[in-house]
Amino acid sequence: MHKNISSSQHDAVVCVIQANPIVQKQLDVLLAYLDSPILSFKSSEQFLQLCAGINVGCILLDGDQLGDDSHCLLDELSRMGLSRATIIMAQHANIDAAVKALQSGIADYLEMPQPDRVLLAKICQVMGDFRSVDVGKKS
Amino acid sequence: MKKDNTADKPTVFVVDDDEPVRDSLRMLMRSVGLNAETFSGAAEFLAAYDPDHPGCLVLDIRMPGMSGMELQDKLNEMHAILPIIFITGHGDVPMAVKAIQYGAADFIQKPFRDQDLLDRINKAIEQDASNRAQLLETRDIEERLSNLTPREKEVLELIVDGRPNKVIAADLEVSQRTVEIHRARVMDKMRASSLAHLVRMVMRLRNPS
Repeated sequence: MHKNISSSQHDAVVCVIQANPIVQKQLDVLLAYLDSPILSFKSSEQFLQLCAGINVGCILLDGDQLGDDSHCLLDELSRMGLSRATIIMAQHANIDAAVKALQSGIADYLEMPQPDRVLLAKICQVMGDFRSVDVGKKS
Repeated sequence: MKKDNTADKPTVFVVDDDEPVRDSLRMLMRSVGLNAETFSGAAEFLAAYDPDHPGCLVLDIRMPGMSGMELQDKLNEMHAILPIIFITGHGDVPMAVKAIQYGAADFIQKPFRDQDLLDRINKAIEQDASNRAQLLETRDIEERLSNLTPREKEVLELIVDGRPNKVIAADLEVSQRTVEIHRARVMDKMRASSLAHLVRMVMRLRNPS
């Protein structure tokens, strides 16, 4: 896990789950515009191992790394009360995957690329809508 | 409009401007014993819409006049709970995302396998039955609550907040015996079998979802 920006522990954190280092770098630059701490994870497994205690504000999840067992991760996020904080970003988006993800309760599913301002606005909207959850308490 | 003749049986309402599609869906529903009503457009469906009729709506997106998405907006404005399954031959990801975010139960692309659609329809009908049962229960609790006097409602709120009789008596500046009488009446009028049951009923109204 790489902590890009440090901030008060009470600030809601943007968690980026992204396997592609190039996309990760682009997101680092873009998310620096947000006044929020950012934590990066290379995989959803790593996120699930380390997320306890994080004051999650938004999860940016790489939709392209989700396999046939994506429902397991989506169910887990739902169980932890984090679905409404989750935005899936997919370069190879498809309707069935989008519908399944949204039916699980996630906040949004974005077909990438999106203009920077659109992505930032979506993140801010989700962070505003989602009441930050202490994952450690929920699980 | 074409309809099968059954009263309260769940109905699959099909709205599609393409007649062969309507007919084939109608035959498909019949083949598995499902009741179906078909409509050639959104306006025709709205004219016949009965919010008390259970089932689900299979809705085409692209139609002349009011589109499927516009009909969804209209039904949302009417606080309709009928689950919607969108079907489209020209869908894209943003369209599917918007439909689900606005409350659609499902979104499926043409051509689809019959069984795939039937599975989604059965799921939507189950969801509709569950939503309606919850709605009925909520209305029933609201009706019981409406029989309480203002004082009994005050006592109920304090009971649900976990205050003991002694504290309620002090808060309301009445005797503990008076609180006990109010409490007994609240339990009776709310038809609560226990304190936990009473709390569950009130929480249902506070958090309807």
